[in-house]
Amino acid sequence: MPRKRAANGSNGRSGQGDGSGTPPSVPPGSTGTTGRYLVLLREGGGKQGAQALSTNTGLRVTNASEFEGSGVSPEVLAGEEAIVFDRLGVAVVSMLPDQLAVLGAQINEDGAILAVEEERIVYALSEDNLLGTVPEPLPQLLRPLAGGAPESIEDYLTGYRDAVNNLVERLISERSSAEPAADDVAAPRPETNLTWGLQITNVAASRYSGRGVRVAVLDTGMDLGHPDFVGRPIVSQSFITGEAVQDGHGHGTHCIGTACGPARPARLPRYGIAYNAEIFVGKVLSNQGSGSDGGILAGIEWAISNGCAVISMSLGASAALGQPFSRIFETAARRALAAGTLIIAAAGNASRRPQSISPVGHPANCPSIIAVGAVDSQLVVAPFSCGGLNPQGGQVDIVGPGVSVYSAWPRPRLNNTISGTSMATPHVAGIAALHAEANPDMRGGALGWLLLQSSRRLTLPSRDAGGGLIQAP
Amino acid sequence: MNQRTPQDEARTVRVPVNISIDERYRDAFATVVQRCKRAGLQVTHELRGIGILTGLIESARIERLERVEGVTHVEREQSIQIAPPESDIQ
Repeated sequence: MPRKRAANGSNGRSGQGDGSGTPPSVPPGSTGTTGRYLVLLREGGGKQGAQALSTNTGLRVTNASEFEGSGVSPEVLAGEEAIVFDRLGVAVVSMLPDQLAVLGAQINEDGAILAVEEERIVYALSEDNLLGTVPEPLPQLLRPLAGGAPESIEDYLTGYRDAVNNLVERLISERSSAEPAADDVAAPRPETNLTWGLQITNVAASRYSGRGVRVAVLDTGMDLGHPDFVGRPIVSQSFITGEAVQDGHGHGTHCIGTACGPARPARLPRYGIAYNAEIFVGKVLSNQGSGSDGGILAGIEWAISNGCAVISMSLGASAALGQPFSRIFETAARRALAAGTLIIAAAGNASRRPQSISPVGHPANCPSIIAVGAVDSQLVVAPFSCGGLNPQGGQVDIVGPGVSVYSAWPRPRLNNTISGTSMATPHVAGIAALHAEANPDMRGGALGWLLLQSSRRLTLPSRDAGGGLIQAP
Repeated sequence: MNQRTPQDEARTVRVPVNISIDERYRDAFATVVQRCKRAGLQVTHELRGIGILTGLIESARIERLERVEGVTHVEREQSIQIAPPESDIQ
């Protein structure tokens, strides 16, 4: 049955609709829809989506692929009743209210039609219409037979005001709680079941454990006989001449504890993140805590050849202001990414805030290495945490819990609480393993992107906090 | 009679270096290694997977090493030292 095509401007909210099919020109600053609708079709649904659209509305549906090469011109877009962009699974449709109602009733997350929205008019942003403009409300998703009036401008403004007030209150209370205590230690959260670091990064709520993911920790080795790791598969290699992997320092054991410690340690609180990850221990620092580039590079190569998705390096050397990053390490890191391995390194502990901030050290200052800064339990930047001061490379990419971090320690002590960007780094590495398990198709740079994209944005300067606080999936 | 100055001595001291192999020469890794050896490099690590070579060379010969075909960068090695175990900040 032939249907009349809706003329634009029929929804009454747009400007001077001229009925010719071109979106009306609406002056900047006003809200505007075109009178047409965007229809979201099931991905991979192929012809079904277009079919469902046609059946329900009676409209003639055209595929954008018919215009391959020249693309869909404005004239074509205006002239067709419904045009499906099949690569996107989106259709642009002119519908009358009764056609819309019929289509709306078909919306089903298991069906061919997933959602319908009004087509908005958008403008280039300029200083003129950015300031003093009423923000446009979001387009409404039509739900099947849903009630409720669309959000009004007043609702939007009220919400905006409340959000700003909330933010100001939070900032004021954060600033007052950021006053250092007499002994300069940030007040810890209660750590009965979980360390504060695992709480603030949402680890316990995650259903992931790093299963099937290989994590390499390049450090002072590990206490291979630590009771919390009995029965855990561990592959190890020493790159220090004359020394075995067995950790004679403690640093390596502590970092491995954070990154991969057990879900149920012998003593609470739980301190470890990727409790099912396969642990690869590379001893690149001696029992005295010293190492060299060569050993670290050999450790990186070893981790890559063993298919590790993540390398955690809580080590580095100070960098001076203006010092360029190592081209060798940058090259190694780039090649690691190409091989599906993401390197995560400590930003460095050379700062003495507030008096001085030191630049991110080597090799974390390489652009292709994720540099991790440290925050305390109140989300204040740790006094020792380096900052992104060098313009070439040298930025802090993300922050993790790095003050008063409880984790494993070699026997007989078993546990220890220390601070450092060295402690923040394995938080990021362990959580990276969770993201890797959750996203088996994302490795290397794509995995790094996931970490940044899902981080909790903070109000701290990005010089110090990069993209924010690491969060578990 | 030739006297060796302290500067002469310094230039013959072997220093640790890291070398990156050009992407286009990664399939010819072994050949580049040989060339570096002929330029005076005493190899410590051959890291084929990341296309990097580490070794020792007299500081006077570093320039020559940089000019070897297939070598992109030569850097002097940095050493790493973390704080002792009893430190609060590590």
